[in-house]
Amino acid sequence: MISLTGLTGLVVTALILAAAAPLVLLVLFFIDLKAKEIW
Amino acid sequence: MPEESVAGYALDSTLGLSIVVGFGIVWVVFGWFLGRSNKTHEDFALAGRNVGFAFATATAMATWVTSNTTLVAPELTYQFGIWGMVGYSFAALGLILFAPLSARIRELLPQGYTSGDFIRLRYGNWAWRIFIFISMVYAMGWLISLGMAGGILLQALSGLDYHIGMSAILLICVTYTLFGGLKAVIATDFIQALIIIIGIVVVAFLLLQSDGLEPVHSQLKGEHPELLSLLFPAAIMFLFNNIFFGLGEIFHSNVWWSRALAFRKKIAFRAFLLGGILWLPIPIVAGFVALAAPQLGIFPPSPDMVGPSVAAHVLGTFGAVVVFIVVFSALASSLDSLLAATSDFVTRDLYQKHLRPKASDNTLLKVNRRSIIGLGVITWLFCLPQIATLGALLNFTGAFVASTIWPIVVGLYNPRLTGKWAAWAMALGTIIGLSFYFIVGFYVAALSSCLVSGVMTWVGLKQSKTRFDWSALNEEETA
Repeated sequence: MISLTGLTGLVVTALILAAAAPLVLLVLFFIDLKAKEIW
Repeated sequence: MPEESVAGYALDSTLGLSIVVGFGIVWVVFGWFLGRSNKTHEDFALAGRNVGFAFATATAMATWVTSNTTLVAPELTYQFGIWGMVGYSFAALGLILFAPLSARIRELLPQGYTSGDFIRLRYGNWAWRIFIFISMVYAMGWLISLGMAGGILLQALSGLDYHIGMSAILLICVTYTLFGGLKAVIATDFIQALIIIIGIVVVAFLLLQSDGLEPVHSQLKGEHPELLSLLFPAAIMFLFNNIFFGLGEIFHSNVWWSRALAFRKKIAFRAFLLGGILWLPIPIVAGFVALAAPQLGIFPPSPDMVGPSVAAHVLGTFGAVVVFIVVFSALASSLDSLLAATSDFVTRDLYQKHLRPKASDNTLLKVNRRSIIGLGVITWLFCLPQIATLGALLNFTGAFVASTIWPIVVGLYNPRLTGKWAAWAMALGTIIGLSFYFIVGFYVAALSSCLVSGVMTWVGLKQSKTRFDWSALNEEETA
């Protein structure tokens, strides 16, 4: 059985990774935009 | 009573319809704007084969986030506990393992348009026609299930009439895909990816802040300890079938092949890999909210409504609006991709390669657009009688798609597998998978299909005395 610490660690890690995803996509977008490599 | 409104509709139907129409207008105008630069069939079908890293990553991720991810992940967590959400996140393996295949596809088929091109050139006409049948069954199954899901989910969330919701989402996706082709699909996927992730993260964060995990954990430990168990047999069986189904879906479908062929050279591998990594935490973030349901006293009428029910219960109308927009975006991001990829498949594999090999570029562009309209109309007609068994429809196609895994993977790397054995592997895998689906159950359809297809592929390799010339895949060179 997963402990409270394990469950919290799993959910918080997933939340941090998911929250980082839009930032990663936006950074990549601006890099592509600057390099004129969107399309 | 909060439970009363949650069990009914989380959102007012006028507000729901306003959101659909508002977003619809934005997507259609955006599609029209992007479509202005489409001059050739290649521009329309493959976005000029020049998609950059950011859009490539976002479209890989957003297309794989379907209504299933946003609603079935909480449902599975509700039913299978920890393994439900962790197991679902393993579907990211499909994207991650497709990364090396996509680089190989881009290298071997520089002029290719569809997954059918590869099967035709690599294995010949018999295997190609079996593959066309499998691909069309899967594409129509997925299109119809997405169309129905649109109507059912919008109705469940807002009380919006099923036929209005289903027709609206189909009309919106058909219109902007028709105007903008793959460019519109990919660009809207980028925005939809941002909306989906931000929406899911906001709901999860607010839920964590409002109650935390401690009361949830102690309640589950006392009354539903199996949901916290790491050795839940039913969940582990589901996990393995789901992995093979996911691999079959991604490896064979033109949705993913058309992306591999559309991404800029050397981008495909990185985009699918990063898309898969970014997708990995989504089912956990979307799913964990369901663990709070028993503690909050929420027992939704249908298990796939557990996520929206918890969000609406804790966060009120704001939570319901966010969930509605997330679900709508997730549906649109998959539906548009499937419409574009299937219309490319119809144009290339059915029309051009079977009926009009000398068709002009302009004719192909017209046929591609008409195929989008045709697919939209056929899907709409099939969706009119509301069938409740969405999961059954999709799981049925698992028997078909899992049979293609080995012929595709081996065919991309090993020159010894011949068309005869690839055709037998796909045909027998599908037949056995379907038999198991009806005799045993949906959860073994993909597994048995993949296993039989794998055995046939292995026998084919052992028997083979020929070696395929890879340069034959570059159709322009050999023409």
